[in-house]
Amino acid sequence: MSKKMKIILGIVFVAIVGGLFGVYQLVKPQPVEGAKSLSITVVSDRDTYKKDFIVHTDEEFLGNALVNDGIVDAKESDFGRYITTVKGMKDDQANEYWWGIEVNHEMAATGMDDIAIKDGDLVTLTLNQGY
Amino acid sequence: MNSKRLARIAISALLMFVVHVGLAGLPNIELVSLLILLYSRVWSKDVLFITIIYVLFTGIYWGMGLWWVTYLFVWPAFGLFCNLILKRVNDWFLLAIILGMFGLTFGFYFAIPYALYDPVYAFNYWIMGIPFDVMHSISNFAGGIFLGYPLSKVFIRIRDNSYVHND
Repeated sequence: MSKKMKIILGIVFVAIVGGLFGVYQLVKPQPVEGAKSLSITVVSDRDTYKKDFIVHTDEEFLGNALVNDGIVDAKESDFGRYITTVKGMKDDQANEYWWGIEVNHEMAATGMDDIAIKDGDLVTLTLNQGY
Repeated sequence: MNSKRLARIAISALLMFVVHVGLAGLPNIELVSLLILLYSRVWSKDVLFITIIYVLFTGIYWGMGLWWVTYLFVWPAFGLFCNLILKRVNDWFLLAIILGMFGLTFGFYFAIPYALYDPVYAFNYWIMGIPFDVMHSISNFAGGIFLGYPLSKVFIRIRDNSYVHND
């Protein structure tokens, strides 16, 4: 392959990678400033637990809103923080129990620190079993 | 299939799995794609058996969740693609770009099973994973550029000294 061809290929490759990242920047949920009230529902069949809470926050992302309010404990990972405990109920990796997040009845596609929140959001934290 | 060939397939799959586990702490940085490409160049169609055994290892180790369904088709399909097409390409710059493109599209393949029951979620899942796909793409490209050629020489030397052939 000629040097010129390699340069062209390299530019096309960088353009595709950069273009896709640009699409992500445009499409990703944008954070909203200001005071918000979130309706939080916690469900754990393992612990026979279901309860609703209201959280008032100025945070722009769900992670800090939940941690600062004391509803959840979280742990750092290479992919961001994940929920380990909700209202004292711990996950259990050995038995494949993990906390899942739904926002407005849609399963979250990211970790809690990347979920942008707005006033009136309905958040459900459910203890799931099985990976 | 003789015992040496069987052992070679098993060891190659195990090496892939060990490399995967070793790099598991780094988000979407892997050498599995590069190893599959290298295996296709020296072990030819056996790369398919190697990828299938590797996928079984991952399922046993991490559990056979929905992500594993993607593994079931992505890695053998990539092995087939390498065996049919990429093993004939000798330009490591081009191969590195192809590895990079594979990394860039990796999250899209994982969204496919979700799309079967919730296309909107699958789209969001793919979009929100793009930063990881970009990281995957750059690391795959770097692996191909810096490790591809030297490792291919090592693997060819191993093949030529092993006296084990596919027939």
